[in-house]
Amino acid sequence: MASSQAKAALTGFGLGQLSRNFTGSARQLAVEAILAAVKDAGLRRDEIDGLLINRSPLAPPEALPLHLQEDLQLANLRMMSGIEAEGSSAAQTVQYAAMAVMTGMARHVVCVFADDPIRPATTAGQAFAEPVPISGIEGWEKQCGLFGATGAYAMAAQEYLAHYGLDDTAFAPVALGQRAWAERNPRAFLRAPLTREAYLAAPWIVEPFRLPDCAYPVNGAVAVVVSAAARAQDGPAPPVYLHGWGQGHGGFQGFHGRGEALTGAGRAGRMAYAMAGVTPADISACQIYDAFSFVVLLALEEYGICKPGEAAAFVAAGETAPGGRLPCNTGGGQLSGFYLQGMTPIAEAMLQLRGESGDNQLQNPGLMLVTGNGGRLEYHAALLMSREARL
Amino acid sequence: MSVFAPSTDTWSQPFYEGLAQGELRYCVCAACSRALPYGARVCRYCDSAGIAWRPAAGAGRLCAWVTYRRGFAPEFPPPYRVAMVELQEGVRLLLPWQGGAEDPLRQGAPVRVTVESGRASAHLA
Ligand SMILES: [Zn+2]
Repeated sequence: MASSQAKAALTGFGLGQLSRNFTGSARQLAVEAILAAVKDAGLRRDEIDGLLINRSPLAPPEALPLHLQEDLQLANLRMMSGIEAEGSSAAQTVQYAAMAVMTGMARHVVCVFADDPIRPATTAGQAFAEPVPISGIEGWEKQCGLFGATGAYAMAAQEYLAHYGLDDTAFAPVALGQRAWAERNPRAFLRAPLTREAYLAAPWIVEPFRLPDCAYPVNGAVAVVVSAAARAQDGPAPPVYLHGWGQGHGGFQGFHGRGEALTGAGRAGRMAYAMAGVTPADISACQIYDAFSFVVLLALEEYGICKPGEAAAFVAAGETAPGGRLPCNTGGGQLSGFYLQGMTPIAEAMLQLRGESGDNQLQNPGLMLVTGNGGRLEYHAALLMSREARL
Repeated sequence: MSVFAPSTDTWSQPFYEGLAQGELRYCVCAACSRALPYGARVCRYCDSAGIAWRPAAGAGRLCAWVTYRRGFAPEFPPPYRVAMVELQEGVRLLLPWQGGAEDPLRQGAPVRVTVESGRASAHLA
């Protein structure tokens, strides 16, 4: 491994109550998470000079407005913005925060995601029924009956299965492995053991996805503080260092018989690896954006960890589950842990690297790949994190 | 509002107007005539910003399909299928699938796209 000096650090972590009930608006949850993260970093509120806000693409702008600044009475901001790249936004906020602290534009930047899809009159299923555009023709998905991100992702998943000659049981090991992590995680929402039989008997939502192939939405918020790497030791929390990051944008256009990357994730990964001076072989654990089980398989391949078409066998061999050689989504991920879009993998990474993962704690989490994915596989952002300031 | 309410997006208008006239359309570059993916506002080959619409032959092959087992709108009672089809003109089009939700399907199978009463759908050729 080449030597890499950390570019920035995550010095604070905070949650706004995670719940399947409506306990407060996204805006209130964001305030709660930010206050917790600032305190966790050992900072005073007036030391926060950057605020980057990530709102759910399904929530209206007023759900998480720039007025968070006034809510929090942050008088010293030198950078503030809403970042809008769907499921890749959370990782992007950390990237932009890192660049701000590297250049001195800001010293302590808070990145926050908050969402409240579950309301007294709205179930999680209804909240996520809005079509995801994949046709290029405005309004056409609805006219075809392609509702929800579930249908759009299922379409890519089915093409993947057929292309590699896999059947609809290929995703089972992803769901089972992540449930195994969740069973031992008190923060996870779905902790009841999931057997292969129960998985296969679970209701189809949109074939080839069964219910356990789909993320488990919650209301809640996650905030992190990004500070200069050199200042990371000053705070009370164990620092988590950022060594590389990247983005790549481009949707799943199908196979067309090509050998090239299927999405922009490959580009995001190559950029992150180059920045940190590492290769995919140096990755020792992953926190992968897994709104659907299939995305884990695709990400393992696109990020260069498995060869194309080989991720299903890799996961089926138990490599990503507890005890495996490449632990993935060690809190249960979005499937069994909780779905707070791009902040779920970042939260799981921070807990692991800070040694706060309880029964799921890895002896040596090493270099962790953290991914974000938005749209229908269109927007990708990746982070490389470690406990070590120097690799 | 019905899911079949027409889109007000100006770029998509010729597609919907074609359907209303019983015609399936795809887009090409007005300058170099090459087929462009639905949604392209410029030509990926020659950078021209002029898009023209042409009638498609209605033949293609099946790239992927999904089967809805849960209903999301009254117009689409489950089970039903939606397909991704590559038209013989070389572009991909999402389409409602005409055929049983349990019928065996194969990637690459030849399909026909038909337009009836202003609605397009695909079925095995
Ligand atoms: Zn052209």
